[in-house]
Amino acid sequence: MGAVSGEGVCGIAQTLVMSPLRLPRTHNLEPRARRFLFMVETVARLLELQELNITLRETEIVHGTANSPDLCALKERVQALREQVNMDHLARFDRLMRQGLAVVRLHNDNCEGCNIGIARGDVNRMVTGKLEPICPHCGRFVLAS
Amino acid sequence: MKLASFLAADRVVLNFTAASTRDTLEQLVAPLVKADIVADAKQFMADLLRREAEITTVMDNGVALPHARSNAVRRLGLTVGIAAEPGIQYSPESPTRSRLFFCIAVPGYAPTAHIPLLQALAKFSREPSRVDKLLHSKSASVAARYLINFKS
Repeated sequence: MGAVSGEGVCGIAQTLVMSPLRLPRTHNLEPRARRFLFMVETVARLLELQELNITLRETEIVHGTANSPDLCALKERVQALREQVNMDHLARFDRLMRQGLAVVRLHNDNCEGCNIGIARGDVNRMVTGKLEPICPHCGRFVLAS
Repeated sequence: MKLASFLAADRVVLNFTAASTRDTLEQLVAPLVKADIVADAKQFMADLLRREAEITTVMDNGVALPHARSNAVRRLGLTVGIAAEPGIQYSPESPTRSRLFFCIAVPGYAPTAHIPLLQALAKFSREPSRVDKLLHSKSASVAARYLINFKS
């Protein structure tokens, strides 16, 4: 795969946001593209982690503290995902999850976590990898698309 | 958690029968589609089945609480299903047949909105006398009223 220019990063962004876990190899990419892919991958993992955490909470409500093979497998998936995320991002994620949601969508450039608008320029910079996909108002990870 | 905002008599399905998990869910999803809570029944059904495959939503006493977060859901909604005797083998792993179902539709934009509702329903379901009384409801409106009066 050849080096990816700025325009190439936008093209990748559209594809990856739709299917963020099918990622190309990064060794031939420019540093900015690599950083962008890293963040897209991180947000995708955190979203999956958030979903699993919610499923775990539901399971505790429905089944109490009884353990089952399925529950153990779920916990193992959570642990495996956590090990793939950078510690700083994980700390932010855990802190946000204690208060509610950690990963939210953008809807018409509004963060669905705090309902405050994010400047279009910032959204574009998040999509192109020039800015970390984190809401400047509430600090949640955002899925920009 | 007040169940009144989620329950109307038309959201209670009484004395239904079903041959499979999918069949059961189709009957529970229908009132949600009719009330415009679920915009895309096919998508929501797929999400329900995916969630059920992850980990069962059937409690030890046979009460089932199928639920799923879905982009096909417009707002938080609930359907109550009371199956005709002897019940439905909803989950293949469950040793008991299920007669009482609480199907919760969770909107994708608010993935934890259903947690208090789920807690209230699980608390209701843990008391056998309450479940028994609900199962013997003579009509959908009686069943809805009984649930509405439950204080979690």
